[in-house]
Amino acid sequence: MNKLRTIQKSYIWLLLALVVFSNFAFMAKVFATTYTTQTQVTETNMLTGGNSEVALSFKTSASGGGTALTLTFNGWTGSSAGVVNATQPVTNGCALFSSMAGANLPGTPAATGNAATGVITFTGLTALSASTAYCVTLTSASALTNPTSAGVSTVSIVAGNDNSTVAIDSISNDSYTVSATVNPTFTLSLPSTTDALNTLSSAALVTSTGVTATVSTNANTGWFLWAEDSQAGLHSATESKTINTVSTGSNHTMNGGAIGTEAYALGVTSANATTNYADAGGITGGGLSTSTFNEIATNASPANSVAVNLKELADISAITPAASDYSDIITIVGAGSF
Amino acid sequence: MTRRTGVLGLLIVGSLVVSLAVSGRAWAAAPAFSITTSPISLDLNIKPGTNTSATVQLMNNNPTPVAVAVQLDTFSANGSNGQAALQALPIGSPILGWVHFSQTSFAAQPGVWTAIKVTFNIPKSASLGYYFALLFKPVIPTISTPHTTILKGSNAVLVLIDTRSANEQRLVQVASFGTTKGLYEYLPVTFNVTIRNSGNIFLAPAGDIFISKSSNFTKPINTLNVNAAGGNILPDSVRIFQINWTNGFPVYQPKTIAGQPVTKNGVIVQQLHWDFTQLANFRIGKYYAHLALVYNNGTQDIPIDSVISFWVIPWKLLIGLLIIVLLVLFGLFAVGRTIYKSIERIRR
Repeated sequence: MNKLRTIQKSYIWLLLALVVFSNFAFMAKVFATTYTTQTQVTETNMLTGGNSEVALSFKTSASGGGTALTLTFNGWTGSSAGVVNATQPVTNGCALFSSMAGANLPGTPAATGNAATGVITFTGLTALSASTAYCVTLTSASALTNPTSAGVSTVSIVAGNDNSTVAIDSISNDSYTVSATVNPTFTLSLPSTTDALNTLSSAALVTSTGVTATVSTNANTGWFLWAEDSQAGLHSATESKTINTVSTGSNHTMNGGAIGTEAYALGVTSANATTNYADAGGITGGGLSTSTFNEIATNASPANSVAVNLKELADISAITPAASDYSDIITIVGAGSF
Repeated sequence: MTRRTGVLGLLIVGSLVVSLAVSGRAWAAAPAFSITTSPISLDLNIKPGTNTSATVQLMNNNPTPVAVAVQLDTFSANGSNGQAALQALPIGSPILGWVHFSQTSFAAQPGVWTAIKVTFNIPKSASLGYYFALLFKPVIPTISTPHTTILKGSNAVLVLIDTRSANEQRLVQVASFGTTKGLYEYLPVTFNVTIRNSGNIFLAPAGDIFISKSSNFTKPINTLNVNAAGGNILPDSVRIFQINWTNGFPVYQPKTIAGQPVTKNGVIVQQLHWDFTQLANFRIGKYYAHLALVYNNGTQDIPIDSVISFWVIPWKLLIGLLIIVLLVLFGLFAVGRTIYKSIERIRR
């Protein structure tokens, strides 16, 4: 009986030893979990039901290593729940998003998606380096098709030995309308309000330094410039004498036979001059009225700082009274065309 | 000596201090006059016995305020080449009482829009159309300087009023339709469409020019807009619309420097532009242009048609090609003759 008890006791100890041993033998291997950092999953289109490219950036942990890379869009099981495309062209880098950056994935990365599970699996990678930021873009225009309902989805990323989970939003409105008005405008500028003619001569045509008016307008029909001379010519108050303007309505040559005869004209040297006021070669111009603004320059197109070069031309005779106060006042009016 | 040097030093330092104290504030070079007005023009339909208001805005682009006076002028066609002229209304003209400005003079502050409400009270006796120029004249003191011309600038907003009178006659005609030359070497081909308004109210006809190689226009090459901007023609006047056909290879384009066209003796300098992506638009031969204009005579749209032809012959290019072909033929002939002579020599 004692012997039997001894045997039974031995079996119990043996059984206990077996249990303890088996616990050690079959005990699961314990790993410390490591995480990627700076992880971002970014879509080009967050609109519900919208198609999107997607970029992934992450930084591996200090332990790094591993060649696996998967993205699991949790709950994206196809159709209205969200779809990952089967075909997933891969481009290293994240050129679509200026805020995302990282090294190219090592190896020759390729990827495929599983629409039923929402998993995108990368292949062709060599080992990921430790503590390294990577960035990659899935460039299919329909790499992802967002869920049709607005909300937050989680994306689980396994990158080598690391993993992490991030969230992405699907929103019902991802854009807004910008509206603006551009007024129809006309701008006339004069750099100076005086134009010097200096000393006149009965032996040669004298032209002024010139003033360049500038026209800017968005009028599709173009613009006009008119001029009027309040004194009908160059006037000397001390001599009560006016060197009369030439007649309006035609273009006058102010040199050659005109030398030695009193005449005063306005010339426009730029290409937009009207026929009567075109200053061809610096020697022709037209007369101005004291009561009517005559058209001196025009163009049928919008103008972006178009220059209109204005010059006065004057001839005198040998008996033109001497005076140092010959002067004139010309008014320029500009407008967009009707 | 020492005292004198000390006094001199004190004077120099004092002068410097005074100079600094009274030196003017430095401004970036600003134009003597620069004003922007908006809108560009107003086309208004106002029945006799009613009134209409519009807002005109003005901005002073100079860094200092400027006093601006508002004046009412009229404008009309001037001459037969499509020009217009402005004229002041005679003192005492009843028309001066038809237009009321919310302010006739004001100080335009730099970079700020000043709004002026303009009310047009058209009396029952009014008829046909009225053509006003709202002048905005900066009030800048002018001091006559010997040997100088004083230049004053003003902006105008042109207003065209149609009273929709039963006496209105709406009638335009194509006075002429043609190209500036009968033969062009390269594009652009410039069309001049001169339209005469023979009626008594302003009108804005518009349409197209169809360009084709065939006179029946079965396959138009290009369509060009005529007066797409809706420019008006004043009554009893003409307006010339210039339209360029530029869709060719090669094509002359205005030479520009810093965005401004280069001119020589008042004429814009053109340079040949060879864009080989436009090779298919190489133009040669006889072309036809069909002008199709439409205007409304008050009850219906009235079409106006006109057809012309013109030639595009890139003659310098053709002469160059001919010379090359002749040289090649001459070369082949010379080589052939040498070979023939060699064979003859061997035969002998």
